[in-house]
Amino acid sequence: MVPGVQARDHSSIHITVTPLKIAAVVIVNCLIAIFIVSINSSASFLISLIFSQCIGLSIAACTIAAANLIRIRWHSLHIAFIAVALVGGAVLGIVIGSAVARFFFPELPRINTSEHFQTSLIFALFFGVIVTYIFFSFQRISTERVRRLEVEKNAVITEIKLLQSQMEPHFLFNTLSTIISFIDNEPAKAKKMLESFTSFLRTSLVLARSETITLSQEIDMVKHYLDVFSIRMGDRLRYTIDVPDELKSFSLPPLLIQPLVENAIKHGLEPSVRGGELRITSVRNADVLRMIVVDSGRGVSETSQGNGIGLENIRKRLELAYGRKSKLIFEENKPSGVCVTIEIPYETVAGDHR
Amino acid sequence: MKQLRAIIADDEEALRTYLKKKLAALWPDLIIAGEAQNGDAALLLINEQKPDIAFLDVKMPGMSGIDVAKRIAGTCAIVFVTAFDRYAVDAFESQALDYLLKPISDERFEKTVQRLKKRLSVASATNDMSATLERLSRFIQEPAPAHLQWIKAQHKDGIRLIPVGDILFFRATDKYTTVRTKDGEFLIRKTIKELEDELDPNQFWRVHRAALVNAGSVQSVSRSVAGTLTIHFKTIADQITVSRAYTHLFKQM
Repeated sequence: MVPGVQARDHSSIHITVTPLKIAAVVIVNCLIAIFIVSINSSASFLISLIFSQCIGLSIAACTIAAANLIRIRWHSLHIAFIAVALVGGAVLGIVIGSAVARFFFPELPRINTSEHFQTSLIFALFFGVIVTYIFFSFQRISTERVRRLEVEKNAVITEIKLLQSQMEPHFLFNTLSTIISFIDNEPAKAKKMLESFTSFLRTSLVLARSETITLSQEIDMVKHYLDVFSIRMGDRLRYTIDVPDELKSFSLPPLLIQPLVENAIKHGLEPSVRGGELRITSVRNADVLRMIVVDSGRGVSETSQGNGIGLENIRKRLELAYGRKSKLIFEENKPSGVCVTIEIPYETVAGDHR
Repeated sequence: MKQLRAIIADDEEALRTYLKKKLAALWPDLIIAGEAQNGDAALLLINEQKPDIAFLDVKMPGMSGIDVAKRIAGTCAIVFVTAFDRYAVDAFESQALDYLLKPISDERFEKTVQRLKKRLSVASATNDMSATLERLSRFIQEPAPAHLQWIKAQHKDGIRLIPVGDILFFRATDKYTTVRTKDGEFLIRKTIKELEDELDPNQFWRVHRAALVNAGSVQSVSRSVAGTLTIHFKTIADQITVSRAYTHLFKQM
């Protein structure tokens, strides 16, 4: 399954009611009345119209009420409720329709024979099911389109964010400045740093444009990034990466871990006089994959900034790719720093390359 | 003329060495009295050595270069060293203070040396810079956000950090306040009143004596026959009732 295209598992069925949609229901009801009169010449158009309007509007009201008011996680149960509402709406519509018809045409016989009722119900259900199905499908398609656009929007934001972080003046100029200062005295170090920097730029540019990458690709990119920083920060930055081999080929959306590492350095370790440790681990627990980034830096205060667009973007992409099955958890690390955990289902995107 | 003394503060050793070499080449008379690798150490060093010139990296661990400059204002000439920072550069440009941009170019460095020599020979090395420093610190330091960005909640045996953007609503329950996110509930000790004061009022709306709702997470507001408003959320099935005193928030435009 491709992340992002998969339906959100908490996607509730919700119908927005607009004047245009009500008008469409009324017009469809008119067409049904015309259709009935055309196949049954003995039927009166006015009476058919009253019936079709009452039944059609009643079904619409009941199904929309069932869709919007009942809130159930379980999708198929929700559809079952809507189906029940459809039948209820049809029965209600027939009762109202006959009352209204008798109000205008008092000479009309009561619909009290079961045969009469049955025929009306069959017609009501026949059209009711078709029209309701079409309406709900349209709604689903438009909801789906909104989701698609959101997925695309977030992919673009991710790429922009990455470009911004690479082109972040402090990162860029500090790195270049360090490289220059190494050139005369320690050319080997300058060369190594330039290589790491180039590798980071190259891998991140390529990976940011992919829909999914492997965990080992993400980790490589993070390593290049950390290499640049560990030369600059010296022993103030100590890091370990622990990703078991069997998880390395696991596919996931790009740039989930790198922004967390960037935050840990920028807000936690770089401003700290003593620096600290950074640990990146990945563990699989049955069908859950956890990626954990822990730093022992300054930590956050309640008003610390840095939970801005970067983290918001990660959260949105996780939600679009995995729905409720993903989590992004922030905790205070002991004795200092922050621990961020990403949880995603293990099987979803495994082996998928697009 | 007495020999001038300078100190260098930068968190990267390579950059300190680099600066030292440049100074040795361009200004052989200048004595480097010491080096510091963070703001706190720089302050100690300056107080101890009483140098004539301090080269200060702006972004250092611990105290920033600006903070150090504020504390020692008036005691020595200061040259800031900084990576590209548009606002900072604007601020520097408009002032008599000197600055060096990373990566440091030879040409620019030479100019700085000339300027320092000239100024320091005119006895009074420093004029009052406090106003300038005040302006600089406003440019360079991240503006302190007035509103809460994180909620800290005890969870199992750790402390969970919840970005306020993730919170759907707060609800008062007995002694505590319940924080609701799409993933679950957490209890905190802060009261609804305290939270209302500390959170961004454009984001979190008081809709009830006992409830504060994140406006961005609301899916719809429904009105019952009796006129009661109920808030529905995008990601969870919970509902919050709007008390009468707050219904004006949801009046149609």
